[in-house]
Amino acid sequence: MHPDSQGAEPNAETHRAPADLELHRVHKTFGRTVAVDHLDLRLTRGELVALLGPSGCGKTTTLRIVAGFERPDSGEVWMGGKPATRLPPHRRNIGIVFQNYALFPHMTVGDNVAYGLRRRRVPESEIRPRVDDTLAMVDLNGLASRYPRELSGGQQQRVAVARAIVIRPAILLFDEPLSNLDARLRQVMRGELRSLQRRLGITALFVTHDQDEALTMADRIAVMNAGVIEQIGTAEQVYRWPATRFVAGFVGECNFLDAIVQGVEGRFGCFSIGPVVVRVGFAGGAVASGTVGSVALRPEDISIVDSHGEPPPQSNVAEARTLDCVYFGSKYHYKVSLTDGPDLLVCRQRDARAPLAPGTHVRIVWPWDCGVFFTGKS
Amino acid sequence: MAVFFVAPIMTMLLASLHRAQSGLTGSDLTLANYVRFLSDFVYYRVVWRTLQLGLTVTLCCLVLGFPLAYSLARTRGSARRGLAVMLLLFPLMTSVVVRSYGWTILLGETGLVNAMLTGLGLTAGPVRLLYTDTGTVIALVEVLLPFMVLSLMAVIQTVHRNLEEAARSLGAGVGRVFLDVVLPLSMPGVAAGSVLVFILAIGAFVTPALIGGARTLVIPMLVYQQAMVVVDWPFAAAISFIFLIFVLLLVRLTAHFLESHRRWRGAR
Repeated sequence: MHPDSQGAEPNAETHRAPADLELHRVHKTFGRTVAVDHLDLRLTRGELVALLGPSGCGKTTTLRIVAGFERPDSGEVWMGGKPATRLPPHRRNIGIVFQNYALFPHMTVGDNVAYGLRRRRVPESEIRPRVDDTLAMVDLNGLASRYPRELSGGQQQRVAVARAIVIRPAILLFDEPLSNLDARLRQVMRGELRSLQRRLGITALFVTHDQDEALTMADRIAVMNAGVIEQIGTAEQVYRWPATRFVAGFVGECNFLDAIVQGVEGRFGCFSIGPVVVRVGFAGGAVASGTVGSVALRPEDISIVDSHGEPPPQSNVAEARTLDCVYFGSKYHYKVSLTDGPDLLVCRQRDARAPLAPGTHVRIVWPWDCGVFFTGKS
Repeated sequence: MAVFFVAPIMTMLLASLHRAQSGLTGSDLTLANYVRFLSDFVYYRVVWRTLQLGLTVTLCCLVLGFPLAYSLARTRGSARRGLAVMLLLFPLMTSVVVRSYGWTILLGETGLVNAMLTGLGLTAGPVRLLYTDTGTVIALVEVLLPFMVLSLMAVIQTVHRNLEEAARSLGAGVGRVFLDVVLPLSMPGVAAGSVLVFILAIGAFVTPALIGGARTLVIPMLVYQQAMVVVDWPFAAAISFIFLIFVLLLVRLTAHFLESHRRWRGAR
């Protein structure tokens, strides 16, 4: 079953609330390169949307347009229902967390965090307690009089977050904020940032190239490629029902198997992959028999089963031989080769069974429901 | 190093300790030349004038140089920036004598500057610029501006663009970003550039001589006068040596300030 996951259109059916941030046909070129291609995006109050994509896909440019550091060539930006396209950055009510923290080195942590409040002419008597409260929120009690250079990377990141949230902005912008942290710290910060954002209920736009970040943190993920949002949806929608080949390959591991259409029966299509005929859920409507394309299959959807015994109902079955095995601690990645067919990656959680040696003859199965077919050559 | 630097200074020092009459030899050394310079009010006026000129030129270079240095530092594309820097440095490859002579033409009554001023209606008639202090300042600023701009440019480039963007996102307008972020973090460049321009300005000879004429008597011209016109070499040497000590102290102080600032900035 394929729940509706949207392509590049703004989603209006699930969220009735007014948009906190809206980009309408935003277009930006640098010289001859199109960085952002007539992009539409809508964020409702309190949601965290991740802009996920490879380097150069336009996600950072989009963020900078929202911030006001770049002016789009055409299109509009609306914030809180009011036009913001021509507003300079200091008049938009935003908070930004940069990848390299961008803390003012000549000011103390306290002055860094207080900077936005001072620019907004908040009375000094109110600034001190607000700064202290916010520092407590990010677990940096008592560090207000230190200088950024005296803090660790993780602490500096928290100061940057505190500085952005203390002003209670309408929109929080994150520009790959965790990329400079080590893996362990990144995981910790992911959870903390998410719970902080949820607790404060601030609408947030999070730019990242790390799909784990996007999958674990975002309410919705917008997968970008070459200036275009190829798909926007929840983590599950994007992962299990990718709208395009790019999304399937970028988010998580994916096998792409050359396939030829044999026919369509109800909500399943019949495709031949090498000598094997498989059924894959297909909602694409009428497609001529003989059309060439690829079936995208997640490694963890494929199971290696006992060659004897009944295959489970509504499953595809194929004979294969293991080529090699990579150990990931909690799971194994097997490279298997279908008999007279292509190679694919199978992921199996570690269990009581012994790992399979290369060259073992196996039977692989996967449900008809798993996998997506894309037309066109891979 | 010893031959081309230390030896001449030693000779000068030695010369300054003699009297003009006894020539540069003779064993009776005296500090009379130093006493004479430091005690006569006439010379204080010269010193004051020189320092005034230096400060004015430095300030003008700062005010004019900072915006220029900023836009150069923030130019995107190393090719474009390289070209701009080359244009900035071209004048330095011309002799200062030639440039100063050029200014005598520009600043004259019928020169380009006056033509522009009267043409734009800013003044009623031609303004006297040649052989004035103002003219000297203008010419010196043009000559020394590249030094200030290069010094500022180098330091502004170390101020990450993100810092300015962070300030803007937090509500700072352009002016505030400059005052809160750019200027404080550029202070080392400001200090280095200012001291460099100041030292070059107070040591300038050709430009004040050509543009200021006999009216602007600064220390370098005084030294020239004493050495070549009055032919009192020891006195000229004494003045030079005092001047040298002053400049060395200034450089030392600046180096100290820059070093402590660097330590304060620390590792980021």
